[in-house]
Amino acid sequence: MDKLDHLGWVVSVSFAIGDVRFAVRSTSPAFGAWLSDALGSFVVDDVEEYLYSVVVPEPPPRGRAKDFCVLYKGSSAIVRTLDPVALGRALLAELEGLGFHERADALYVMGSVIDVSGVPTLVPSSVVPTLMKLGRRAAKLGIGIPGELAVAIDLETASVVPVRPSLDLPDDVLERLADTRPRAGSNSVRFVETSEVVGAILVPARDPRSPLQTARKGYVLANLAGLALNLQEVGGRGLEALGRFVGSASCYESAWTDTGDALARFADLMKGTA
Amino acid sequence: MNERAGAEEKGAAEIVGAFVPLQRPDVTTVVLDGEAVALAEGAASAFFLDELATLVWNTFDGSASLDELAEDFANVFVADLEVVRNDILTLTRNIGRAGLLQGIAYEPPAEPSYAWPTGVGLGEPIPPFKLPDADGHLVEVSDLRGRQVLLVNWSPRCGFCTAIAPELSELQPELSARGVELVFITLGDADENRPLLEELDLKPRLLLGDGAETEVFAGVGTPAAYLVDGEGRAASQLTIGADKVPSLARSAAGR
Repeated sequence: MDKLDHLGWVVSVSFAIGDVRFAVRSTSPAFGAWLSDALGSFVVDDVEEYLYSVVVPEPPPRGRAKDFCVLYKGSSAIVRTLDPVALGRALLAELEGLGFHERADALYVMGSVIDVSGVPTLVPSSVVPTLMKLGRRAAKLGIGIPGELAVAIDLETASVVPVRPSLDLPDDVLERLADTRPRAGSNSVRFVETSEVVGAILVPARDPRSPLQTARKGYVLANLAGLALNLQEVGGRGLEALGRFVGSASCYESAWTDTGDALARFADLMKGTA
Repeated sequence: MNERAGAEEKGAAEIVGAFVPLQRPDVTTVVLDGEAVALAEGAASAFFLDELATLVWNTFDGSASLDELAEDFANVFVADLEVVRNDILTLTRNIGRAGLLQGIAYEPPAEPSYAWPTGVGLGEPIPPFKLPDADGHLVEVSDLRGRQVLLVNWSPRCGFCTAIAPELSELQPELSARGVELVFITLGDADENRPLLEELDLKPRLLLGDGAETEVFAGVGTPAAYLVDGEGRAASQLTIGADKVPSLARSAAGR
């Protein structure tokens, strides 16, 4: 039993990607069929570890048009959207992430780019479950929802860039998903679509009692380096790129004991700088 | 006589004041706002040096022993020599463990990974460890027998740990009521851990990992946890991540 058991799972598909074996479960037979079809080359026999759980509500008239699709990692909601394609894309981004620690084509960092009052901001992806809990409050604060829990930083330009796909998937993998449930609203989930310069970085303060304040960049660099997944693969080039990335952004730190409150104060600050 | 770094590498714990520190040539150092982050080629994690530590790091050019450097810094900062000597020795050992100095063997930390290491199976003995607590007393896994323990791999520098700390604090009275002791194997010293714990009134027993990886959490990042039974055996699967560790704590607390 786990805390998500009440959600009514009807289908489970097991996968092996690299050396990671896991299962994805869903409330939707159609989503399960998409999983088996789109990721067929990675399907294996039963694995009991549910790494991801996907709620896809019944389409109208059996379900309500405004019911959200939800992607859980473990027991934490990491994406909530009315658009099943955005949810599927977020899941595929997660599965790409299973191999980041072995790649050397970019520096991969467990961070998410969110728009805060219009400013592209990198935050540790550990805040994403809190963002989900903020719900509409996040939107009122001008904070967008990320679709990716890890970002790629280009080793040459030190910009955030789209992840280069490495999984062998059908070209129309997301189009196939669109058939499972009509999109019931605009896609408010943010993905890194092009090379982009991040305007701000927010990290937990080194003193947990610290108010929201400008952070020293060496500390921010160390914090993000601690979230890097493949420093061993990219070596000094990766650290130097991360240094340039941090050097070009405005850096902030905040006490992290109430992440929602920290994000709200940060959103207020960004309103003044946007 | 000073000990110049030679071909044979020592463990960081063996380094003494006569050691002459020299940065490895393959180390990349990035300095921003006066604070440095250094990475040895092939190392999985970078090492942060605050402003003072960066000053010390910049003197590691193979020309002076730690004792000589301590004298210089004590004179410049008009500080107690013994305090400075101990601080520099501790810093050097930690820098050495990160693979940044010639003559000191690299000690790999847990590798960051999206993957889920499996750990020991349910009912199997927890791998042994022997670590100092906040008072300097060495604690072995056998010392924890006789009661259930929620054993958490922790770092005060980890945003994921900081994020789950309030919930662990909330759960601690219920854990105690059920006879479950909260024990953190943590990075950093007691002083580094104290501010967050005091702010949240979180009172785990701290075992200081000193940056060295313990077998019990080998290859695992922070936070991660086991529930350990009264006989030192795993009463839960290895649990990893800011979503799952609180879930394990809630379960152990009877919620």
